[in-house]
Amino acid sequence: MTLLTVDDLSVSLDTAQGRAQAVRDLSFDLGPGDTLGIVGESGCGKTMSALAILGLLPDNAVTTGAIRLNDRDLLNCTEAEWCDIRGNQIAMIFQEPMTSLNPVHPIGRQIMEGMFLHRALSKAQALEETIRLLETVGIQNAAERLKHYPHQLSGGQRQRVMIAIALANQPRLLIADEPTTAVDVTIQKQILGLINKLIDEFDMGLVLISHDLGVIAKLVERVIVMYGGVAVETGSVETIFSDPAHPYTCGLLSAIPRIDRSTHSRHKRLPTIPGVVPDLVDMPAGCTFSDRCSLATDTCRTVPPVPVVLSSHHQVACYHLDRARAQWQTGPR
Amino acid sequence: MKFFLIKRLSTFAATLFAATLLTFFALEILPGDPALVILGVDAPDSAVAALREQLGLNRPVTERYIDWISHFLRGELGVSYTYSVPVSELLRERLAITIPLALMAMALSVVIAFSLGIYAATHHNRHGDVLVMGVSQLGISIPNFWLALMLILLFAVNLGWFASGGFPGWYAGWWPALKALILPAIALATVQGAILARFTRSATLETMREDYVRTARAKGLNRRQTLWRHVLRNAMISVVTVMGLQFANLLAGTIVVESVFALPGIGRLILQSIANRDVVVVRDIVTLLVAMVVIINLVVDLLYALIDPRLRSSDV
Amino acid sequence: MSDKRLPGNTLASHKAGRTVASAPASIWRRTLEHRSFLAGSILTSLLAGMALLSLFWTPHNPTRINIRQRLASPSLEHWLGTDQFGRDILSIIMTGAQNSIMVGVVAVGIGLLFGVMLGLIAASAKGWVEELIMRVCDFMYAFPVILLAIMLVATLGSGAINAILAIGIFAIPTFARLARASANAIWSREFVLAAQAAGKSAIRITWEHILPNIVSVIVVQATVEFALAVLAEAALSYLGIGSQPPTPSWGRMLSEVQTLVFLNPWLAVYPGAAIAMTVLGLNLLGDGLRDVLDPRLVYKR
Repeated sequence: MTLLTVDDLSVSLDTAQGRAQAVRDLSFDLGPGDTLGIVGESGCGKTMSALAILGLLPDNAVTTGAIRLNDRDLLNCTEAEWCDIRGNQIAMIFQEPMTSLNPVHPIGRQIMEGMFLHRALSKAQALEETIRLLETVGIQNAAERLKHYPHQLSGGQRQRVMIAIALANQPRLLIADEPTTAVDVTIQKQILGLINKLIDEFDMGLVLISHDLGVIAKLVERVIVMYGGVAVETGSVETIFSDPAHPYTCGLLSAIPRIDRSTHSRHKRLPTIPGVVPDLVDMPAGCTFSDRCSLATDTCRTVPPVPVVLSSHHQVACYHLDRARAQWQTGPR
Repeated sequence: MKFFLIKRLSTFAATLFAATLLTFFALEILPGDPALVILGVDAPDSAVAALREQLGLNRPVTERYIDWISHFLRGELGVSYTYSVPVSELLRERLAITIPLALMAMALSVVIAFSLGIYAATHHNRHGDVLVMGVSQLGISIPNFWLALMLILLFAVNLGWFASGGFPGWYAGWWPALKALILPAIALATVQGAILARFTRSATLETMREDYVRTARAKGLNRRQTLWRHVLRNAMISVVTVMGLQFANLLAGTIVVESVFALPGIGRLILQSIANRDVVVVRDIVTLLVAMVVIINLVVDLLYALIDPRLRSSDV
Repeated sequence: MSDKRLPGNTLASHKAGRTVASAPASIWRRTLEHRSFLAGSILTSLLAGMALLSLFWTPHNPTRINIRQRLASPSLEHWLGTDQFGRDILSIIMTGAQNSIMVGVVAVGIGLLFGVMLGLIAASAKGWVEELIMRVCDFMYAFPVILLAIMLVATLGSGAINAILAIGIFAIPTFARLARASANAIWSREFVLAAQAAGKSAIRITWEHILPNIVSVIVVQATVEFALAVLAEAALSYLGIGSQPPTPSWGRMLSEVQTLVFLNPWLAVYPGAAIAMTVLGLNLLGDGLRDVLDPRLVYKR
């Protein structure tokens, strides 16, 4: 049984410069307790995909395809039905804990707000539950902290509060959008550990969005690599890291600095992918990565590649995946 | 909070002090001898000298300043040269018109501004928004005294619903008195409301783009709940500032509009006093008006602390 | 931040530079597409044209009194009719535009000159100088322009010059605050730090780097202040403490005809409409200029 099914999801935004295709034909599904990572650079459509699942796209967005939660078609939901689902069955943790909390309300009130919205609780019950929740996410003196305002908390504590807000109604699906980008490395580790613990404890599905392959590797089983709004490669974490087949994935992996490699590449610079992220309004007609890809041919530039199934857990949209794989196995690192 | 309070209160005191200095010494260089003004140019020199002595005009400037300010602080204002009555007495009747008028105008402009501004923000880029923005642009451009004239023309001359000016006095009953202030209040509030509506709109729009508003929506709050619980309170922080700053303009507008409607308020008094070279009255009124502006802005600053918890805590 | 060495960022750093295609061309496109800018320029040129024309020609002599023709209705001879002294209203309105422009230019000139200077000094000097200048500006906000004018008039006597002076002084803190805020933003930019490191003096940096970068913001504010000056002058003249007869002034026209609105309402309509259109034009122009000169500022209003 699946929890979430995303089927041929496309999101486009009408902007002053024209129509921007933010997400193109994205498909995946997620069972209860499954974890999925979406990785890519900023502007690759990962956040738009997440907002689409939550029904919080900006007003100028046009969505096609289907998103189903427990076989309920979300894209046909009315606004009232969406409000019933958000924060109740699907919850989201945002990137910026510093700005994602309302500065004029105490944090306890911000956590309880979601509880009152979706459940019939007495004030005492909500208070008790909030204290428990704050303890669960690792905030000490929870009863005292309730009354504090966001500016009185550190960045890590705020992100914990954000997680508490997300968990207020024990959602079936948790979406985390760059949950650790804005906090420093030690806090990052704690937060990731916490999310890992909580998805087990609450048996939630997780969609983790990050530009950081390291973060992805720590938390999820399956990965979607997105580029220019398109899922270019999908596979299990092990497959993606050990046997990448899309030139873009290869590029991402080789751009991670690794201590174990430094011995034999002392004189080489960290490889980067040449070129710039394409403008979403003005995408190449073929493969979105074609204008930065060293393997690109005329076909790549004119006809979008169809995903090729390499194994049950591995799909790649590339004409030259054999050459890319060969290059990765032997190539200069 | 303590630091914040001390800082605000000291700025407040410094501003008031500077205002009294400026007013006093600006009027000190006023050409024309008040004694001559009172007695007329043909008065004998001895009489003028005697009056100067009586008015204390022969004492050193600093002494007179200290004398004035210490009396002013105790609420003892001077005696008008021209009316020969204490300024405080004059003020009492005049303020009974100006203050209700300013308050009515303020309340009306806030009602206009909030309803239009919030409506426009929630209908961003749709017809309603464009219409509100257009109307408010027009509202900002109209001189308030001309609008006052036009209101008289429409409601007093053509429709005959209101008197075209004058004030029956509060002893005539609260309704006739209030009625006399309605048109002036509308004239004042239209311009203020238009300015404030634009600020309300942009502050609301700006707040709606905040991350915490998205968080609120992600909790499952609908647009209306999000607006009331999360957007407006934060948007009000900047709107309230503008309201405070606008108060000075509102008072200035009152002076002009009182003149159009022939209302015997502070504005008329100050204009007459200037014509009469009545320094005592001008000095006290200007100081009083500036004090009102400064006090309102202090109140706004304190209101801040109520709205914004970041200012309430000790770490600011 | 730990993400400096992450793949996403390695790539994102290439991102800049692509969208800045043809800046001058896009300024023109934005200009022509911007409706409020267009409407504002048309109204403002109308005002300027009217003032300019009246220097050489008006339908009638705006100050010639002709009692036999007083309070005439609009006709071919007098397009907008005549006032209580038989003067041609259109001619007075046209000549009144000169007055408004003069007041606006001088008052905004005073405010801009001193305000920008103070703001730049505050931004470059920092410390107690900045604090002092800004506190004085705060203080001046407590004096409404009318009150300031009243005090000036009380000390120096009625007259256009005192009114203009009051309006100009009132505009100083606005310009000073704006100049300081924008200058502070530029002072923290890398190229200024580089210039400082190269040993350039604060005055030279202000002249070479700060001023050119804040010009557009100042221009926009000047337009808005121009509108405020026109409004304030009209109010002061209406109160009788602005420009004095026989200089035609829209504000004074209104005070002169006030007792006649029962007889001939149109007398009160024309000058007010002229003021409103002028102010509207300038405000629209300011809004438009803001968007055209610096599209990044669009949301900061």
